Amino acid sequence: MDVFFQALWGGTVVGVTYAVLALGFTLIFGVLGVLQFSHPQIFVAGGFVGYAVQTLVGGGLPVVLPATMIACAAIGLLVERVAIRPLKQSSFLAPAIATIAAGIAIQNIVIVVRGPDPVSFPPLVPPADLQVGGVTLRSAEICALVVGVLVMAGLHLLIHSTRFGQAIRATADRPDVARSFGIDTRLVSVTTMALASALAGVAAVLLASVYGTLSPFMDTSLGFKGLVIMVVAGLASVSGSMLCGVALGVLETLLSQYVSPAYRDVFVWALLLVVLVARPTGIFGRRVVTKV
Amino acid sequence: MVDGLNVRYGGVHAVRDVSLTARAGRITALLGPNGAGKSSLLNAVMGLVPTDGGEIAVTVDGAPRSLTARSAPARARAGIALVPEGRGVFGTMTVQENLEVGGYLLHGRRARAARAAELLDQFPRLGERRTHPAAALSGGEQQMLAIARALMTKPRIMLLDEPSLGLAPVVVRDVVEIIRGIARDGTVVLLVEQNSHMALELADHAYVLSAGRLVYDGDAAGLRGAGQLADLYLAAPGAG
Ligand SMILES: Nc1ncnc2c1ncn2[C@@H]1O[C@H](COP(=O)(O)OP(=O)(O)O)[C@@H](O)[C@H]1O
Ligand SMILES: [Mg+2]
Repeated sequence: MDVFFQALWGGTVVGVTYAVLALGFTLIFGVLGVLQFSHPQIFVAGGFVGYAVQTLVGGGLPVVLPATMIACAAIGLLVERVAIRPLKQSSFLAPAIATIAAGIAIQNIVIVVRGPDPVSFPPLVPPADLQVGGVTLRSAEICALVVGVLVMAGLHLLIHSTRFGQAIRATADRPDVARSFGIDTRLVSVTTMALASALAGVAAVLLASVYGTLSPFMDTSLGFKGLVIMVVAGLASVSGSMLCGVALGVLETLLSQYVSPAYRDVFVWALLLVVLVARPTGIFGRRVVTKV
Repeated sequence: MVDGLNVRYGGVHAVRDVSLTARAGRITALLGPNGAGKSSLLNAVMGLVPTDGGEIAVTVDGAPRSLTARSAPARARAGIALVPEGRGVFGTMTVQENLEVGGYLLHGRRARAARAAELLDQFPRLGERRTHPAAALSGGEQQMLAIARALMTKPRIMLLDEPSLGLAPVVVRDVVEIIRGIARDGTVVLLVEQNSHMALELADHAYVLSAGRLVYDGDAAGLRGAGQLADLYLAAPGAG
């Protein structure tokens, strides 16, 4: 039973970081109408920025987290400017493909700078264990859970209780109508891009400190998970993404625990297929906004 | 207010050299069959579609001010509000939130809330549904919401794009009264309608657009006779 609860805890922690990553992806799709395929590579770049800041400057989470968020926001803005904005008018596919190219570029820059091998990620909070029943809660895990939940709560408040959040939702729903009421949809898009990319940075720092390791090739499987969570949760629902992220984290952890780690990604793919076939609008029934 | 306006979508020349003027306190109707370019013209005035030649200006206290080069948000700040075709409510947002977005340019949360409360009083149906998502409203309620949302900033100019579209006759009655009230308050009303019965009854002045060109400019009363409008629609210049 302890093994089960240990897996449940670990899966929850990992799932929260998935949710943070996926929400950024979803936000960008909702507001900019673009599948931002370089979002996972921004995650990777963020992880390595966090690694560099901690090894070169130090300071732990209070320094590494904001620094990474700023770096990722900057990368996101660059991707928006270079790959998305110039192609936005041409077609739905062009900007998405350009972001794939951007992602390859970002990943290769990381590899050129730091090499292709995984690095061990330094602890950002003092290592310590908490025993609850038979379950070990590591300080990095507790920290990831707390920070992840706080970030999501903050995002939920931003989207649902502020004027800017209303501008984000109005822009996602009907950009033309939003503009007619004085909303600068360009500014909303750019800000959303920065914010969502910063979320990828948060997810990277949290997940890397939980795993204690970081690889420039984490992007692929994480990208799929982000996509799965977006599709399953439906669009722009913070709580839905949270739930799906945690469910995904828990299920895949239990699966690797009781079946075999080799099936983890197969499971994610199967889940995506099943949901797409059974509920094309997502489990929570929100219609995915189709952009013209 | 609009002079020599042209709108093109790629090869489609949707609005051709149209000039028209709408005045405060009066209802100006813009009529025409489906595809005549009415929505294109309204959207161009709002700044949502680019124009290809022509002038758009607003005259306040005798001083004309060109808006031709301004963005849609800048035109909203200049006092133009649009009730878009098909209502264009924000479906996932509540009635209250839709109104708050309408009042996006008002300063301060309190000002927005106060104005929204005023309008919810004025539109009791919406008041009852304040916390419902707009997508859950009936067509008539959505139309009321689209109008109330556009009234949030007390605009100088109201552009209404087929507000009677798809509504039951009783509901159209309500919409008519509301539009009358808006004009009575001294607002410029430019009303686009395809089903022109209601529009002619409401309007002081009427323009008829056909295949992108103006084919009538005169008294609304002059069009009320049976068959006259149909003749105009049919007498449309070829789409060449
Ligand atoms: N976004 C667009 N892209 C291309 N053509 C358009 C677009 N919007 C309208 N049109 C065309 O412009 C013409 C006028 O359309 P519209 O302004 O919607 O007319 P109306 O509102 O009078 O029915 C039509 O031929 C329509 O097909
Ligand atoms: Mg139209």
